[in-house]
Amino acid sequence: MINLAHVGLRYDGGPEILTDINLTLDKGSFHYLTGPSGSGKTSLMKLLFMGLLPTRGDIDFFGERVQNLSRRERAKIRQQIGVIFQDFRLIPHLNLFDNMALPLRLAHMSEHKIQTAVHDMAEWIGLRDYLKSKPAFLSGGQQQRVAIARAVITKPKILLADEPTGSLDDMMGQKIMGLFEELNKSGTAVLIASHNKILMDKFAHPSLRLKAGHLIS
Amino acid sequence: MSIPVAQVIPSSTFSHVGLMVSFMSLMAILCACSFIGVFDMTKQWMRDVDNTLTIEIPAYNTMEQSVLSQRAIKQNAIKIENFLEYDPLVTDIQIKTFTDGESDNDISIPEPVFMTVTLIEDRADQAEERLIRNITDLVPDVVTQTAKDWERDIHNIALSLQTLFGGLLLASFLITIFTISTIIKIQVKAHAQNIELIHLMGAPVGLIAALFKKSITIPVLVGCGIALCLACLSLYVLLALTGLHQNLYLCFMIAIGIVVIFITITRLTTEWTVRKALWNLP
Repeated sequence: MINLAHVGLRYDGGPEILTDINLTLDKGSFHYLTGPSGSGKTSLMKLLFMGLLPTRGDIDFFGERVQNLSRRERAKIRQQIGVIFQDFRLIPHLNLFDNMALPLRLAHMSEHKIQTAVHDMAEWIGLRDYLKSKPAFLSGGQQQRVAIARAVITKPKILLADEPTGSLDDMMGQKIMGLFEELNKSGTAVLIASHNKILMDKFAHPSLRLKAGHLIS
Repeated sequence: MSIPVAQVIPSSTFSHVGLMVSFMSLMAILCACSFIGVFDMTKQWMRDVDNTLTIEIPAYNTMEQSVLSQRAIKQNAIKIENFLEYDPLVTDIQIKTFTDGESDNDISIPEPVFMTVTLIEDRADQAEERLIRNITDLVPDVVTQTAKDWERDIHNIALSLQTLFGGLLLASFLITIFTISTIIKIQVKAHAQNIELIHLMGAPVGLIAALFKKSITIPVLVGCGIALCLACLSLYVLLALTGLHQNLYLCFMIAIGIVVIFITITRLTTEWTVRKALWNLP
């Protein structure tokens, strides 16, 4: 699904943040991404959801080199990638329903299906009664659940999560990890950047370690 | 487009743009109609003031030559509606007072002929120039008296007014483009996080631009509607006051045209500015 070959990244002519990254995310793969702060985890995630383009090397999405894709084609591919941001990035002036419905609307799903999907997902994350609330009125954990729901609601082919359980209690964290595994079993490639060793031990999967911009499997 | 406008930017963001476009389109409509009004008014002045010109055929050696040249003008000088000649009897009596009772028929004194001709067409349509050219071809020594000097003044004043109104019309378009472009740039910056988010979720730049266009078009339509109503009312009163009510239909058409131009300008400027602002998104 995604293949990185000798990828390098630097910001505005500064030092290289990521150096010679080689990585393949296949259908149904599940990886953790670990490493100390500043090792380049977030930058690597950005490359994987095309938030940035590499300054060196090749990235292929579904067999197409990202640099060769048109903006419209990139947009199409992005619709197949679910991203959970560390800072949730919910749209503050939209209520929970609209925040969760956003990727479905971008995929041109009918309003009836959107209603059903959002209500089911809200039920699952335990926020059905808050659908009309704005994100500012929710706790950090509740906001994180909404961010997760928004990322998985389209059942994406690739799921990228940056510290997805950081603000969740253990029980909810495990529930969410269970959801990721379910998605993974249905073919979604999952990559989770995390420091949570307990969860990583409980839900054991291969780890990719980043150290000073170098990837150590 | 299934994604609501409010997904990117709050719906109230562009309400003030409607007010600005309303003011600008009202100004543009009034300027364009004033431009037409001044043009018509100038023509009306020219038509009303004096549409005649005086022609003097100098004295010739024989009466025959004088009569022939008069006849030639009458027969050949087109665009002449009416001749007013000096009465030959009056001229004869005046001459007799200097010649001890002898008439000019007896002594064959060559005499000049004065004519006043009324132009069929307007001065503004260069009828006068055409007529003088025709007469000069027939009688090279002809002397004409025209109102060219004050005509030029009127033309200059009209031209200045038309330049002023044309300039204001152009300025209203440019100000609108600049203001909308600036507002869009500010809004793109203000909502950069939301825009980046939906872009990363798979919204193409074209869709984001379309959302901006949709959200700005609604207040602009309202603003233009208000401007159109105000403009039609003002034009109806102004044209009636100035006696140019025959231009009412034309002015209404211009008003509608200008409103359409403003809506088009708004949408094009928005699309172009959003695309330019998001050009660096990967």
